[in-house]
Amino acid sequence: MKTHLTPQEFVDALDGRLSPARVAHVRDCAGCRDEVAGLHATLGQARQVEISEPSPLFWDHFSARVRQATSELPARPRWAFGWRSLGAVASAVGVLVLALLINPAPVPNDTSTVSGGAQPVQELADEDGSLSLLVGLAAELDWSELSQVAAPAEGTADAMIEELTPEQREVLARLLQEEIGDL
Amino acid sequence: MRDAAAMAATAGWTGPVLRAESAVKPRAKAHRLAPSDDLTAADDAALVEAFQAGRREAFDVIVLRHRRAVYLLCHRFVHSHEDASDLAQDVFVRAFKALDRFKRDSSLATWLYRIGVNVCLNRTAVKTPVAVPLEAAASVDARADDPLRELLRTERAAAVQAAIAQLPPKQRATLMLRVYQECSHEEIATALGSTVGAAKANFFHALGNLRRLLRSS
Repeated sequence: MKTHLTPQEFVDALDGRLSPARVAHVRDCAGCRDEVAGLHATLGQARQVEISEPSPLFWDHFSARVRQATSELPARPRWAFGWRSLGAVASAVGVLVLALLINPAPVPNDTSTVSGGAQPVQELADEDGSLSLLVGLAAELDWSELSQVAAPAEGTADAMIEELTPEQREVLARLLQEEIGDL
Repeated sequence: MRDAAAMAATAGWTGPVLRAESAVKPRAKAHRLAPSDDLTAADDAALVEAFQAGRREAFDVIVLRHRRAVYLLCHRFVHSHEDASDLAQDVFVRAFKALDRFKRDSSLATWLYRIGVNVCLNRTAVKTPVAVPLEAAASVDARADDPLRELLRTERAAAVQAAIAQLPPKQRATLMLRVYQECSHEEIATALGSTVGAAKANFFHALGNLRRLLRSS
């Protein structure tokens, strides 16, 4: 090959990783050979620059400084994780609400199968302004749009449920009970 | 694959050959630690996992293990012990804040270098020109076997440091990671957010510019 080495190949040459064909080119090409030699010499000069190590006592002092600086930082905030969970819960609730809207279940004649004190979703939506907003928005979506936007990734639901507080699980169970109990 | 030294010899030069490439470590599977396990024996991946699980003391071990490399990297940029120790501390504080989100796509060391390079380049961009050490020449040991030779060596080293300080930021960072931290090109690409080809090209141009600067000085 007669073309000169590329920058990457010059670096490969410094590393001793040039292909045999290109090594042969370097052997035959004075320009590339001089360039490799020059780069090699410069690299040698750079490698000779040493910096003085700090005192061994410095390291303990340094670790103590870092520990001090980081101890003033708040511990990993549980609420940050909680917000993510809350978002996931909101998505899940949204999915359930949408499922109800798209495929409304017949009103059961006997409400005794529903756990005591549970409110239908529509009532919850009537009481909670933000939920009714969600219901309103959801009414404008069709199922294909919903599955693209709101469907959680595989495994998300399991992880999400593990992170729920007992109270949140109770609410979710109640919503599921309403949905499944009518099927 | 042929031995690197053999290849270098075939090509006609006899100088030292940089260490062979090691691919960027794939996402390491952490050895899961029990709460009672001794962290000092754990590998980096396990330390990260322990920290992310809430064991704050894992970070102390991370600092213990990487403080020297991070400090030396910072010192290469700022040429002063005080500034380097401040910057290295800043690197670890930033790492502490972000470690919860570290996904282990690279090794912990590479990730710390990435933070270190960013911190140092930000600092040197604000605080220019970089002070280059006449302290080195001042610390020549007069009791050395050949004080004059030692003086020349330290002067040459100071000239090289001054020239490196004049390189464009990415070339400077590439040179430092490759020559002094002995990072592979893959690790440099990861640390600097570029491709391996770009990392190699940066290294080539860094050496070429360094050569020109040293000639002109």
